[in-house]
Amino acid sequence: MNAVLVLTITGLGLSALYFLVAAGLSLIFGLEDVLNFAHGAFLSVGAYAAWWASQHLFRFADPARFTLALVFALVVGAVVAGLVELLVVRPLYGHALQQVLVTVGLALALSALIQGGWGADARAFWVPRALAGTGTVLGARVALSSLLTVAVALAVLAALELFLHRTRYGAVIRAGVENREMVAALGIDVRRAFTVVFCLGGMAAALGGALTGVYYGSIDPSQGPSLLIFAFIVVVIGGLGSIAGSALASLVVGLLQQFVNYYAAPGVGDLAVMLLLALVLLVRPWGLGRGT
Amino acid sequence: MRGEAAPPRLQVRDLRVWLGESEILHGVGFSVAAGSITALIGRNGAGKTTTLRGIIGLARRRGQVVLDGEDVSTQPTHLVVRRGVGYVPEDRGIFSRLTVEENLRLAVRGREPQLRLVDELFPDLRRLRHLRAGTLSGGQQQMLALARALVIRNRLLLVDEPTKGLAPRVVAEVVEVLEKTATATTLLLVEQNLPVVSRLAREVVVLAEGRVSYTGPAADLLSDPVRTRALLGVAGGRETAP
Repeated sequence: MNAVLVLTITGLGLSALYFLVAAGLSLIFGLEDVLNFAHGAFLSVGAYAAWWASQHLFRFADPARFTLALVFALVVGAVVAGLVELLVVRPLYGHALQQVLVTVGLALALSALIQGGWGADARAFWVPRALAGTGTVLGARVALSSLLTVAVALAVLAALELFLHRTRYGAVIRAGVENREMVAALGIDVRRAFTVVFCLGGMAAALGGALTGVYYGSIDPSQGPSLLIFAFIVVVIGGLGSIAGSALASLVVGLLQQFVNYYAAPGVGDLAVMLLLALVLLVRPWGLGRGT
Repeated sequence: MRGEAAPPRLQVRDLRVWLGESEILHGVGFSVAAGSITALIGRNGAGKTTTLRGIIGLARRRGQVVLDGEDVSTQPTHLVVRRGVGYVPEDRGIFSRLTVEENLRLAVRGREPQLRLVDELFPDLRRLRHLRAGTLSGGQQQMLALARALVIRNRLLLVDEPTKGLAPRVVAEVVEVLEKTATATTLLLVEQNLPVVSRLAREVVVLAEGRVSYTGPAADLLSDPVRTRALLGVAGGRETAP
């Protein structure tokens, strides 16, 4: 029973990381038809920004140091993603192949830049003492980092849902996912919405990067690209442009991966996820989160 | 003393529009007088929808689009629309996953919304405002598309086949709404239903293979069955107006 509970909570932690990367990816593809292969690099940028900030903010008390490091990661994620949209992606709207090539190139370049600056080896990620240990949930000892990751992802999900359903800008984005030409035909500058969505996606991925450090206890330049693969799978299973779908798909993928890896053999979880992807594509190709 | 003629609300000069690599319009030119309904008609594939899309910049274009004397032909769609142009596309362009109210709110910008007018013209929409637009019937969706174009005061409305696929009773309602709308704004209407054209339009522009083949009073064309058949391939529609 304890093993099931521990696996569930660590699986949920993994789901949370997938969701933070997939949410932005899904919105960007849904609204802009951009397959952003540089999105994993936003995660790496966030992870290293949080790590760098935590190294330089040691004078602050633990909670403030940690919070400021996360805020710094969010800001850096938003700025980098916004610049990528404005300078690299915007000139290539309507040119899908060139966008793929340029975002793949950008992902490689950003990864190389991080390696050039801080090396390819993993770096220990500082977490406040209060979050470093384990806690007890229904009698099972679970890592507090998993619980924190889940809590943050839930907060991000709630914030995104509120933003998308309670603000005019959110309505613009939802409308744009459906028919961006008509959004422009209502006098709305849809390209500004593109930049906003890129920034939001960059922030969520950067937060995911910082929490990757918390979850694994260390960061390295390969985490972004490897999480991106699963985030793409989550986006496809969840339905392009659907935040709720991404949340549901993250949950399924993270838990499936964790349980199969434990009860079958390490690595088989990845295979199970691929089979799930194939099944969803066959049975419900529009994804879990969309009506049709 | 004789007053000078009012300048046209819209002048289209030598408009060429491309869809992908194909040139669809080959130098279209016509004017729309302020306060009138002008119908853009022609056989299938003549370029009617493409003309509307070219006017508001939804398709690659060259030539001049002049709105009340201002050339807007180099401006992106959202800026053309902000000059006071409303657009109701053929497929209605409603956002099916947004509610009726959200669809209407998206169209409101800056200026004071004409909510009273919308309530007056479309009393049913008030009752349906919390429903997802995708759950509405075809007629209700058409009403929503028109309401969205009317919720702010536009100088020119581009309406593409508003009666297409609707039941005769709904067609009559749509025609009535368009008639009322025309008292406050100028309409450029793409319409295949000639009785509707006959009832609503003062002027017609006939397109054939991406070029203008006739411009003039609607009554003159539609009362001449021989010319109507030659230009449109169908008889005129004066007798069966809804």
